[in-house]
Amino acid sequence: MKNAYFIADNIISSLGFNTAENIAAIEKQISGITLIYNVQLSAQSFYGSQVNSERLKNEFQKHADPNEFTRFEQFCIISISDALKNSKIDITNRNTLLILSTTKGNIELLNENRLPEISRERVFLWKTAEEIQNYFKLKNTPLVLSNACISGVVAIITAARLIEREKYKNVIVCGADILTKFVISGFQSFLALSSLPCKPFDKNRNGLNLGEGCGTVILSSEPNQCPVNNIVYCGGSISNDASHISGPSRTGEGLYLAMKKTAEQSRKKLKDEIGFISVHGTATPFNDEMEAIAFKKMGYSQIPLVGLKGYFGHTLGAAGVIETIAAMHSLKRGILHATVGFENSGVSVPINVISKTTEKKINSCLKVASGFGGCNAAAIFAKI
Amino acid sequence: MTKQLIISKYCKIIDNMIFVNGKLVFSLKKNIQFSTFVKAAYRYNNMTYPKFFKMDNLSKLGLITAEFLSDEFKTKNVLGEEIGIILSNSTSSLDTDNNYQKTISNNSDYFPSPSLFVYTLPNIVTGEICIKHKILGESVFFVSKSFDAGYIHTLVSDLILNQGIKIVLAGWVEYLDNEYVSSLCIVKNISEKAEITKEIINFTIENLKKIITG
Amino acid sequence: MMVELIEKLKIDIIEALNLEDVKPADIDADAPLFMDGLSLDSIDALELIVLLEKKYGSKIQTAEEGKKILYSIRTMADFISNHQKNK
Repeated sequence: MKNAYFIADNIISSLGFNTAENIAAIEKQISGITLIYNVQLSAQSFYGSQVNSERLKNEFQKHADPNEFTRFEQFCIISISDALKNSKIDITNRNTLLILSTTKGNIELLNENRLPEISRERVFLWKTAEEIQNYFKLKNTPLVLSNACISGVVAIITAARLIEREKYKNVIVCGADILTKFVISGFQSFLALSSLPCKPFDKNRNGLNLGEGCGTVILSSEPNQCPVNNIVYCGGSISNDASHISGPSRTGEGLYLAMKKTAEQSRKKLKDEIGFISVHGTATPFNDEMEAIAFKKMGYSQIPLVGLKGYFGHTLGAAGVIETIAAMHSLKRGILHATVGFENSGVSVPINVISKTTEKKINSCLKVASGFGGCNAAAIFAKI
Repeated sequence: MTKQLIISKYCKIIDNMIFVNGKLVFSLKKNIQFSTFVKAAYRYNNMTYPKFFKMDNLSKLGLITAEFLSDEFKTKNVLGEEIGIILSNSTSSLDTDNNYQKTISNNSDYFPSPSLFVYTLPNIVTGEICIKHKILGESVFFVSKSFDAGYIHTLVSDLILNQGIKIVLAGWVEYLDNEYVSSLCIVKNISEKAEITKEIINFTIENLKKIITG
Repeated sequence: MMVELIEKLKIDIIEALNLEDVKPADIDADAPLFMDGLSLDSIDALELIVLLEKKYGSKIQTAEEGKKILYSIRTMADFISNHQKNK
């Protein structure tokens, strides 16, 4: 069995077009959430996190004609290209696979007035993946998964397992979702959006903010040549609450199960206790309470918690990848990120939320996510 | 101890016909609407599950197909967390996406429907199956142009050989504009099989492809 | 008036929430909708909020307000007729 190393990455979000820009902003506790006025997205203004369209156009023109690719595809192509620049893999080799994680892809194409020059067939997720495959001349058909808000973490777990079992040498994991009227209106109908910037785990939290973005992380059976700062996958698991399709289980049973299996799997590779937890932390009343209960069940009440949705909003299919990348840079730089939006705990059990950028030497991180359909995912990474 | 993976049971629903292990068990005339057909299949199974009627067509289709295989979920000594589900299709939740889009496309008749929006994710069908049968293990939904036996075989095998899963429900479930096909099978280690029947279908890429797409 | 409104509401709710095998006569206008009885859930509640606005022009502004108004068919009917009086 091989190790799966994380060798390169990229984040595109409201905070910037590469990982360095994003991490710099997070370390300064600068949020990417703004009040958005855009009637194409919503009749009422809303707090969300939006990628700069002007810069997107300028960046994408370096790659191809922006008129021939959708916003979603532009995110993916720029992000994957940037991650590849920092790796030495041969992407045209059959031993490289792309895994694409998204909840709604090009759903804006359901509106026939949007991007009329783009074929409606691109609303099929396999078709948009094919466009990306053709752009990079990848030999293998991309694996596309759509599993609600845990998609990104599931994609990373799937990639790592394929490398550990030597099915592929390199796996590019790309998670992306864009802001659309389709998704915003849906969450509005759920009364799930906060009227203010979100407050994960806080006693005044009252909903989430939506965001858009893209995260790409490249996993490989070969570590980076520089021995310092290599991060390896230790274990991961996926579970279902089997309780309700749109609300988390009150007992946190499913998330607890995923964390328990992940901890068992990771025991061989983990030298000490988990350094911190990168939470899902959507800032809805139910989600954060459920997570806190699940952490308590695991005996994790004292472990530092970091929630990043106060910076990026909830980026759905991108969230698991973007937040994992940020967590890895926390490990590399010895800096725990502040859970922007959090002031006072508003859950029923003790938790240790990091509320200020904090220097701390940490060796490992647990990433968790939960999503519609009652699904949960957990994964542990560590510095070697 | 090495494991020998087999396909122990399979169900296909297409053109208003339901086949279990290749044998026709229920059918209605081809021209009958899906909604009528699937309700009849529900009653045929003597189900008492009111949530069924709130589901979208993709979830109804997936749930009914799983129902014909559900005795496998009750296998002795198999816990809910030891059952996994890997489903796939080519259109994701597009049928419901289109229906939801209608509730938001007209500014003068703008009433986004939460009960439709909740079904605008393909993994909700796996969620509904998990809820009904108390399945707590790994469940993932993939999208591909056509059923990819190679990838699905790799992922299912990994679940059973390396991830502590004992039984996997896997296959293809697709619904769009009254056209549909659902083809699911149960994969497990041969030692989990209750009784040895004459025919054993080994879990190979070829057999998986034949069962799901044949 | 109220009796007619209550009967119409029952029919609308059965349709909007896909309550198969439930007839208007089965629903007690004063029984709580969200505990026993019909065992409605949070998505049903949200769909009822849409129904009230779409078919009866009565908008519920907050989730807290919604909890009180959606308690039973009768509280919903009261809300609608008060709202229509004040228009």
